[in-house]
Amino acid sequence: MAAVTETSAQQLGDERADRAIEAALGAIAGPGSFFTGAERVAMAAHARGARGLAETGTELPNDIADNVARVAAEAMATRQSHVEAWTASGRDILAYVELVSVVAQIASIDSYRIGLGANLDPLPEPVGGEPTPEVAEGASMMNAWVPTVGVALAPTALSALPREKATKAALGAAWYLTDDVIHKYDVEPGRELTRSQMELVAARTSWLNECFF
Amino acid sequence: MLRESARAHNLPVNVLAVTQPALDSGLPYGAELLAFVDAIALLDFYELPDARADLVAAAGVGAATRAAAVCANFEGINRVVDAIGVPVNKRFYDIGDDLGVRVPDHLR
Repeated sequence: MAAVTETSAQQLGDERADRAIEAALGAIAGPGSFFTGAERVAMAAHARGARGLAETGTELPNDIADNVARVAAEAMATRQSHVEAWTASGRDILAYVELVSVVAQIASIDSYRIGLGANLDPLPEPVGGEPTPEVAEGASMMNAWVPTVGVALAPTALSALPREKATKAALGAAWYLTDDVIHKYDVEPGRELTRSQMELVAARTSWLNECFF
Repeated sequence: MLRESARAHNLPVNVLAVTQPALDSGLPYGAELLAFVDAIALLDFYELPDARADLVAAAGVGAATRAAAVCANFEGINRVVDAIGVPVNKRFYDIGDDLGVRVPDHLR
């Protein structure tokens, strides 16, 4: 077994990924379509707590906190009834999409840092301002529990909220593949791992998360 | 997607290694990659330093960084698709059969 050295951990990293993460954290800090920057940062903090990566405790309303914790720690347990309960309480269904986006972003960023053996990024200071809804034209109920633009697939899952989709896509392009080649299996992207090695990593990650994608 | 990319590149990949990591995937550094992914996704801070060092020693810093990146990406994607109920494409049902798992009813 190879010796663990400080050097090996410190050498890991990628500038493009760091830039995408910086942009994503900046976006989390700012007002979204339905939540303020303070609410979005609080959701990120609560998501960390739900995964056991930080102290728990939040001032978020219970329903938001419950959904954040579930998506962060056991997303596979989500059912359509959770989304229906969200809207039945008077909240916008697209606010749920924004919540899912924020939680997924911080979970993925934290997992990357953990993999590298680095410290978690400090959560950003919230940026003031009121939420400004920015909803994609053509977003409608298709085959998922929330509206999407076109058929809901992994690349289009957040498509009703263009800002969230763009942030996720930027992280994905830095870490994995650009959306336009995800399903072009013969494309070898020229990364440090082959396409098949990356898919092995992806498949095992999904298996461990009890996810079928 | 592992099966599809292996087919596209004419690689003899054993997809069962996804669910049974003791099996040989047939890919270079497959065992080291799987051990590293397990440590990250399971937040196993005891195993992670050795798993990381083993992968770095075998495949290099760049490969380990990319493995962490791909794992991270799917940590996000998994949460999104499960939380908003993206149904599993029917053409992938048979991979579940290959792996001995059934796509749950709520994602069909």
